[in-house]
Amino acid sequence: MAHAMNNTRVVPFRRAFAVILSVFMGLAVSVTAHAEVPPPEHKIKAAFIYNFARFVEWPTAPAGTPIRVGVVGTDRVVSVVREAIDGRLVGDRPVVVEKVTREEDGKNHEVLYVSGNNAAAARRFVSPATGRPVLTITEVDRFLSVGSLVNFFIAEDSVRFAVNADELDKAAIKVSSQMLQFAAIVRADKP
Amino acid sequence: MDFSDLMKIKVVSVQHRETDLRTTPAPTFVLTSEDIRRSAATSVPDVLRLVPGLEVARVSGNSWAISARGLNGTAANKLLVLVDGRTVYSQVFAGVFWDVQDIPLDSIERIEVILGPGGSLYGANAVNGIINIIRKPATQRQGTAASVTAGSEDRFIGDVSQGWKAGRNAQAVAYAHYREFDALKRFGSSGGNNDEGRFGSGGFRADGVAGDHDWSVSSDVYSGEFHASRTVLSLTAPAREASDFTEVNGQNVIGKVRSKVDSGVVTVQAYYDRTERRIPDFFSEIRDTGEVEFHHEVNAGRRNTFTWGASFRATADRIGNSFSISWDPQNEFNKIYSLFAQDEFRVTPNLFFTLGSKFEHNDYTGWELQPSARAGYTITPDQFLWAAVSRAVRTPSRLDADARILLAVQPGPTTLEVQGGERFDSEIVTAYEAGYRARPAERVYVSLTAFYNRYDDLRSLEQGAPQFVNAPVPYTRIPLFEDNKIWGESYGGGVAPQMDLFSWWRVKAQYSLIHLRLHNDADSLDFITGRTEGNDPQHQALFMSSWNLPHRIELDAYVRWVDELKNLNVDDYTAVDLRLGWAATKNWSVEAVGRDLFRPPHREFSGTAEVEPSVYGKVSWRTR
Repeated sequence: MAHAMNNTRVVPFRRAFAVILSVFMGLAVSVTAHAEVPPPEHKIKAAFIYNFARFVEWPTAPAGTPIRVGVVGTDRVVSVVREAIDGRLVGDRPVVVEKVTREEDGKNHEVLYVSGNNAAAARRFVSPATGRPVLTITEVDRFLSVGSLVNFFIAEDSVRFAVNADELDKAAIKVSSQMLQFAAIVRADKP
Repeated sequence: MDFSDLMKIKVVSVQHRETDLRTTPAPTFVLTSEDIRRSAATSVPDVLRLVPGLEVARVSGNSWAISARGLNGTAANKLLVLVDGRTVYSQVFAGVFWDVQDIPLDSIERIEVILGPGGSLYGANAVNGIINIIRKPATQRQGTAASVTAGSEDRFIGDVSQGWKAGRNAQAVAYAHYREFDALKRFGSSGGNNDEGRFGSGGFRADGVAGDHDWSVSSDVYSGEFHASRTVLSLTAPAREASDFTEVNGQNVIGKVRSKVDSGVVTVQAYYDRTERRIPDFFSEIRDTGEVEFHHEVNAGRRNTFTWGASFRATADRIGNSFSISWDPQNEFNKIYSLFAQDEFRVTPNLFFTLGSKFEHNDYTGWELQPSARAGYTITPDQFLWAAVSRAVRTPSRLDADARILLAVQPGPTTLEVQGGERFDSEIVTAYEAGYRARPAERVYVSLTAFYNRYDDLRSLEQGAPQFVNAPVPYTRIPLFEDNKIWGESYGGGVAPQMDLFSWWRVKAQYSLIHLRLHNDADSLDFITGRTEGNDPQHQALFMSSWNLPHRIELDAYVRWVDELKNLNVDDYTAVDLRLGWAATKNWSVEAVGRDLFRPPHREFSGTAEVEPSVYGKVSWRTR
């Protein structure tokens, strides 16, 4: 990735709980806060979102207006995404990352990213944006029941994304085939 | 970075691992194809040892005793096992012949295990759990792949597969598999246990999309022979050891269509299965089974998901008699009809209830009802709590209804024989379970489960009045009539934490506990069964560590401890498995594995076979 990793994080209480668990299970491991941290998953997903913005066409895109990326999730996820792509340019439009807390606010963004694996919550944020020119992105197990256009999933330890073919047909935005060729196109629930 | 670069980066994502915070109100556990690949296992029963709460004991070269939540035995009958939705549970003795479930591990997409009664969705005989082995669709098996394994225990395992695109919206794959395995060691001698064998299988599969429909069709054939020894009893001669070959073969074809409709999703599946098994002078069976199943998942409003379905299964058999086991009738045709319905109702965004039941009709006991009520509560996005109450039944098998089994011959001669019959009713379990799943830190995951089972009408063998029989020679027969005069309780649970210490080092631990007590009814004349139904280890623990090292080297270590089996005089044991893997190039990879290391051979169950340390090497090649 382009930036150097510089995150020395304070060990929160939850980390201590994890250490106690490990000791209980007979592990004599020193888990340290300054352990080498891999690219956090959400940093990679943010990079994907930036790339989506490059290959999606919105119906009205006045020059220079920001591409607003609304993020639903914890403060930590929002800050990771913001740090990764806020301010970057797609053509002449800058990316602006905002935290979204109210369900009806999602539709006021060009991109809406609902993090977390909670299909019911995701549905509530995605529904107001359906039918509007919003690229809706989720990362749930039950993708097709949520109504979003794109869904992140992990396959063999790498981030991948799936596109809902039905939502794609109905979408108010155009998705370039240069993005679709990397997508897993899904149409109905697979076991 | 562009898409193709991003997709090459490895991430640590506890969020999306299969063992992550699923909001399933049941103790589910999933073995992914990665878990299977990184294991030291070469067969399905071996890889099931990694599932918390499952008891897996090797009995001989070709047989295992596998159960969940107790009541294990070579004829363990409380677990429902499916392969791609096809039941591989045998109608003959209500258990699974594991020797013919030798599915190549590289062809498995995942194995889902749900402990506890799954009666409401899966039907009868899922008393203590369900194992669903899901194989990879043709989309995941494109190109050419081949692998060869050679070792001290598994002498040779060869697999080839060829996948190709079959039209714009379909893929197909054809594959073949062959295994030859050596005998285990014999307890109390320096020689082998004479239980070696070989098995071959092949098949094809096609998957595709046609508009709103996903379809898939697959077909397999298999054949094998397994060396086994048995004690042959006779009225006129002393008991002798017979050593011969069990022959098995079978074919099946499965088709499935999943369609998106206005109201939700409809799935229709049908399969035909033929299986043949021949154990000389003991048992033979030819069985044809056909089943059609229909499933409809309905989006009934914002808060409701309603699923219902119906199925019909018919099975016809021809079973051969021997002096040791005889059957009346020898040929039978059995039908099972079932209907199920389940509703998931979301009270608040964080709280949901599931209520469902299966209604199943079989030819022995008529209608059986298997209801289940479950609740799930998301305390915080990182914590999920669930509880369930269910009832499930284990219906009579051919063995329970129609067989006469010779257990012993004593001087007289006097025989002790198990007599099945109409008296035997279904066994019942009422299970109370609860569990908790949490992600206390970003790369830490833990699940806890607890259960209490109440068993009623468990199989008992009631001694009857002696009968005098004149043929082939005059003898006295003491019948043990199959009845249901045992009840019992079990309780226990497990904990399974998992942690990614670094992006390249993951550790997992599992611990499970079972406490089982069986009692006879006051009027029971059973003096045997209390022992045979209680062959379970009280404690089991597993610790595993996986390292991703530089130069695409992988190292995996597994340490497993299984408590003693008091009834069978089997000591507790610790087994260490080590795996070293190297992805040499994009197409080639090699593995070296050692199993059951650092300790002398040990028995895992009844019988004379001992598992001894073994090693194997594997070379794999694939295009892509």
